Amino acid sequence: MFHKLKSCLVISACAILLGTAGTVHAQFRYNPAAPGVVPGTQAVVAPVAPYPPTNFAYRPDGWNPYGNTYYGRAGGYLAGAAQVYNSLGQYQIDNAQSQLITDQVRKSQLDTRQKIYDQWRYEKAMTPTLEDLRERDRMNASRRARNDPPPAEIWSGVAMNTLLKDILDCEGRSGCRGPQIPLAQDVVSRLNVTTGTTNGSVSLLKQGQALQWPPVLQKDAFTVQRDSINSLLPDAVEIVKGGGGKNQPLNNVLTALVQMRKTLDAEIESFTPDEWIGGSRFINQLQDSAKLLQGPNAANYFNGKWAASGTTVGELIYNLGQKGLKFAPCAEGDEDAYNVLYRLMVNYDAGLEQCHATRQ
Amino acid sequence: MRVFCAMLVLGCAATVASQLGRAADDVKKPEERVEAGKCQSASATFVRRESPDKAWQVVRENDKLYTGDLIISGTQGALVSSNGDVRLSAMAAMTGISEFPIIETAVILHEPKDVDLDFTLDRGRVELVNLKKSGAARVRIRVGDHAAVMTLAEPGDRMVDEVYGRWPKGVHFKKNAKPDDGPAIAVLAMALKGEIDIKGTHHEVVLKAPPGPALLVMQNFGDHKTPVPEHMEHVPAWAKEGGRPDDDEKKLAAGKKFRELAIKKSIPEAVDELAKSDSIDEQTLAVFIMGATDDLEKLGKTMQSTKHQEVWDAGVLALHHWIGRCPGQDQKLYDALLEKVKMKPVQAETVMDLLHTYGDDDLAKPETYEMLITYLQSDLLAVRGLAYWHLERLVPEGKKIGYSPLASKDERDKAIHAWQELLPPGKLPAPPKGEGSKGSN
Repeated sequence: MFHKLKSCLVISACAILLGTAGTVHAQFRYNPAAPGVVPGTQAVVAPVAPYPPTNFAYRPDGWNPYGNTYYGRAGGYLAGAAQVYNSLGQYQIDNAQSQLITDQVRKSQLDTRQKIYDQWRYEKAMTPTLEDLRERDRMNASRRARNDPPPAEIWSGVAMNTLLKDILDCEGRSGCRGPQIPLAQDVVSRLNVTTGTTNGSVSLLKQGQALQWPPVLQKDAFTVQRDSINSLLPDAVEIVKGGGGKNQPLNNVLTALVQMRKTLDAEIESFTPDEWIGGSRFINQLQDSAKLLQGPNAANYFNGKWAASGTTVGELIYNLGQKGLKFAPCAEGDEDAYNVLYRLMVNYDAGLEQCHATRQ
Repeated sequence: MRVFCAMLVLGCAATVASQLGRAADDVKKPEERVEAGKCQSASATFVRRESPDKAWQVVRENDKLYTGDLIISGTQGALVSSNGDVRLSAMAAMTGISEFPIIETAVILHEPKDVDLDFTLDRGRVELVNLKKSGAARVRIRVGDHAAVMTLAEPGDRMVDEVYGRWPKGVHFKKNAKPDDGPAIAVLAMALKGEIDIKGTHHEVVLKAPPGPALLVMQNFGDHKTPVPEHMEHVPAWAKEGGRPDDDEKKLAAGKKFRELAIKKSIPEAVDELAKSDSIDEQTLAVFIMGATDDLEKLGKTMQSTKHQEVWDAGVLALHHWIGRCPGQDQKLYDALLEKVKMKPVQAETVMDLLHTYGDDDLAKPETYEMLITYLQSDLLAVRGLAYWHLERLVPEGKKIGYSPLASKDERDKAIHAWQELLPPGKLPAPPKGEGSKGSN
């Protein structure tokens, strides 16, 4: 019974924290197609994973985001910290994903008539009126003020970089620190960072992992270039890790990517739009990553100097600030990690604001 | 008393799903074909067909109208109920420009057993008027599988009902669509004069003409919340008694020519003659009539052969309108592209995807624009035409380049090079500056 009470308290506090921090939703009305489903989409709210039985050892003098001193008394980690973080990560991913999908469903349940009206104006090639633009700007500002950016802004890193800057500024001015919010290493390892000079990241070049080619680039037309890149890229990375210098494998990778792009463009009508965009996007990301390796200190991306690190949100932010790093766009397939981090940063920011307000 | 929102459309999964891929008159017709009204407007302001496999016929002034027939008007057709107590006027917009996606109006009459008029509004806009000398007029209106009874309390009371649909931005074409997948559809009721009582299965709501709670927008069906009429200060200009001030004179003339030809010859001959005309307005009207009467084969051929970008654009509009009617329409078009046009599956899928509109997430990717610019080179007119259709909306600055999907390959190649310089790979277009809106309402 004691454990059940503990779980209940944790779940309630978690729900309060993660579900409400800094987010206000407009009163969107449901589409009558089917309860919870918008016509033309298959948006379904994902179920939230059950909260795992965990306990976290926070700094005893730190703010406990889960609302009570129970954790302090319980103390200690469960045996198998890796298991804790993995299950936390999965919970965080599921919860954030659920939250994001719920938000998307709500957003997509905007006035149907307005959506049809917007589509009709697009078809009639009506340029937006100044009033339309004012309204759009107002909604954009309102969305951002509600910490509710479009998914594209999360996945491009723009939303988190805005939060990162604001948080660092606030902490620097006020001396406050946000709450202790644990961060799953599974999430951290999938975050891309940059010094800000390029948009590229090394996420596609992870140690020991083969490239996950999208289906379109697995087709026969791309076999020669694909095989070439697969065999040359590890060598290119090793040269960079070893300190750089002449990197012929890297030059050959870049040449192969150019050839791959030409083939993709020439064969565009053999692919569906989704396939083409997926292939193009992957080539662009790989090109950006490869160009990153040409930089003078590219080895820092592999020796941990230029990487996201931290076991809590606060630590991550601190480390990024110290190294002068920002978030780079996520790789395909890592959107959920960005969704998780975004939500946690929103919560951290909200806690920081509370601390700041209290001290004033 | 619980208040209810009268009609359900909105791709109502359970209801519209049962009509996946249907034409309005495709559904099973248990009712006997009986007289249910009379045409009150000029000949050929309505056309009708008994079933999808029968030919379209001109409706002449004073002709009887029958239950089950699909009756379409592209302009201001008017009919009166069999007892003479209710007038239904189609307020279609083939000869003008509507603020909302209304091109044709399509209705099906039913036997009015306990009401003065009973009809299905498949798409478009209708005005209902109580013609009684005294007392209320009752009208049953059906949308999809749902119905409501509208009571126009006093003689002269007027209201408007609208049904229209579109695939919203960001919703891509799905080859294997499920019953839940469908366009967004809006249903409206608006009181223009007097008080209108709308009663459905569970709810009832009263509308009052402006200034007052005159407008009911029906979207909230799943949550059973009370639908709240919206206040309107004035009756819209298009709805004022006495005519519609926004109709285009040239388009009106084209409409008149169609009616004369349809009466003198036949509907197909009238459409063919308009399609071959040198007049852009006549060709455009032909394209809209083809879409309204489900003649997609002819529509495709006209779009292939026209020399006018405006006619091509009208064709795209007609196709958007067609696939936006209800779930299953885009599947039908996809199948037609495979079977009739003999496209490869990937080509047909590309065309269908280009007939849907990109959402914010798509437009945040530079690759989307790269793809559209690459498609400008396509040998398939449908692909390059639709790609350009999007680009001129997404990157208005590119219009001055002068690319035309209808031009020769050499001319197109020069323009494509200019597009690639305007929007290089990896770049997103600058946000548009709002100068004002084109087109009028």
